[in-house]
Amino acid sequence: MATQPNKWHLPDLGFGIGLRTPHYAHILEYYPPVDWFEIISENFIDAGARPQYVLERILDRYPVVMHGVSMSIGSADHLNMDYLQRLKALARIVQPAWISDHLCWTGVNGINTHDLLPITCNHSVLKHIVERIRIVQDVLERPLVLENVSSYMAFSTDSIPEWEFIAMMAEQADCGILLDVNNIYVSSYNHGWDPLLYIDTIPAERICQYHLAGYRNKGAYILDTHSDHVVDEVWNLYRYAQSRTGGRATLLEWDEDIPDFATVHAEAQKARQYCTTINPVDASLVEA
Amino acid sequence: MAYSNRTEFPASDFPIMQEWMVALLRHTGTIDEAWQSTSATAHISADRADRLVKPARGLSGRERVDIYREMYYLRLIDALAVDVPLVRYCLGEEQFEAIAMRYFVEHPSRSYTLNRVSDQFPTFLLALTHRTLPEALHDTTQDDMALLADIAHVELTAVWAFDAPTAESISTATLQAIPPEQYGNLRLKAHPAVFLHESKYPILAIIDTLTARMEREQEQNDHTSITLTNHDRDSLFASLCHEAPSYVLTYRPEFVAEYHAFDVEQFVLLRALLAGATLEQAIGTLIEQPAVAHLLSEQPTHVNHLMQSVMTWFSEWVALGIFVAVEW
Ligand SMILES: [Fe+2]
Repeated sequence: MATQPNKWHLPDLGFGIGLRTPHYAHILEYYPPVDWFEIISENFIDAGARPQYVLERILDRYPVVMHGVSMSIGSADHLNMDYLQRLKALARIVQPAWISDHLCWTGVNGINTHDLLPITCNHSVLKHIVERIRIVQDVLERPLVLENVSSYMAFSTDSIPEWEFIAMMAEQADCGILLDVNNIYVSSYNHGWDPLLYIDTIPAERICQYHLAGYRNKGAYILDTHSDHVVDEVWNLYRYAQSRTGGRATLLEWDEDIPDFATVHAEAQKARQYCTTINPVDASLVEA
Repeated sequence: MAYSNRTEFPASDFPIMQEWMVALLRHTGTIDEAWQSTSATAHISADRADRLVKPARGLSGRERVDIYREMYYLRLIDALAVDVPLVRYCLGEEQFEAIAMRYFVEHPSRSYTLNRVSDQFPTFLLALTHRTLPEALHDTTQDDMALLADIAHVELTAVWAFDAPTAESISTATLQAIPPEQYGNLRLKAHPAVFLHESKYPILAIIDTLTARMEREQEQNDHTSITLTNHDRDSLFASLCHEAPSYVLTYRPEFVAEYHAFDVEQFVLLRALLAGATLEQAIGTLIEQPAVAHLLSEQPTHVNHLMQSVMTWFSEWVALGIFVAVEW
């Protein structure tokens, strides 16, 4: 399938890596040929001198995307406007290709659990979230890109399958989707879903980015730990997803037991071989 | 798989489900105790909750929720351990976890960032000196707790200094451009990365000793995290813990926070300046300080020496970069 642009013509940035503290020194010394970096927004809102210094150096050389963990779009609490304004202020500095967060809630009554907690997928929650995404997009003055999370529990109050919920949400709120292929695999294992049906249902033109990561299998369930190499099953799902959308920016996440930079970079580079379409980065390599 | 729309749980009930879930996460007992607890059943009864969370892959609904519960305190405790490594080292892993869990029961995170979760920890430790300690801390005395609160605060000043925003400091040249007759009226604004700490112990010496020892042991043990045994801690605290007041300025000049030892006069003067006093008012506060007042009553001429010192310290602080604005 030929490359189809996403609805907003957000660029295919190639194969990126999540920017993590243990790699700061290596990156600033060698400026390795990474296509792009994803930063955790909360680590750079109100950042001190050192993170700010690192960020400025990174911004000089690489495209950057802002990925947040505390928007809590599914929470029953009011949206945190102070947080959104800070996010917007950071975006003015970073000029990210886009801003993403997660389809989840992180707390209620002002408490932040710092976890990506599962929403119950029904029409009431859909309406609530769609309204909130619209507000966020008005504040940020750009499309919000939301990521599917790994989940370990499901509710008898669910009346819409998660994949249909995401498709409806994206259409109704007119937002983008960050499809985490590993999360699809993890949740499918945990709940007995069909990962291919999941991918097939997500509107291709709304997918702006992919996430890849490694997990830990605990037997009765899989824990999304971002602590290892990507498994073959997830690579295959990724190949399948890319074949539907064509080139989309892809990012490797590694957050626990973080190995040296070269290992993480090599893992991200593996994604190239699973892309059925030639993206701009590959094309330049072929010409060279 | 069936997607049902049970009337038992109206779809609009999700705010109640979220409050119930947070109550389960915050409960420190087993999943069954949490499930039956008043904090959880205030939102959803145990029976209804069993019908709310779907079992899957041989795990019951309760076991599914427990996956989230296992991670909740762990995540917060890990973040705290990064901020106060010496407190963790002194307490040992088990006691640190017990005390950290009690801390987070009382002070759950209310910030969008994990960087703020440790902020109340020193005050919490200090308050423990007047309260019954958790059972897991049976080997820790309330004097130990007072010292640990001090160590925690100094460690956190370094974290706060690290996280503080950047700001342009005033230079010695700025100071030199001010007419000397205006010095008494000077009012200064501190750099956001400046913090003061007052201790009844020789706190920097204690921190240096503990840091050296922790790092040495970590090196010998291949960088696995090491903690003191109760016995070692008792003897170490006994040797370090004589009462000798000390004063610390924490400041991050560029990227790394550093500690500066102060004497009481420097501390009183700078604390007054940082609170917004003019230089003249700050000197007034200094002269009223009991030790200084006593010295001056015995040797009135000491005042000249004191004024010279004030001007020296003041220049040193400006050169260090701890002020960002001056007005007169
Ligand atoms: Fe992800």
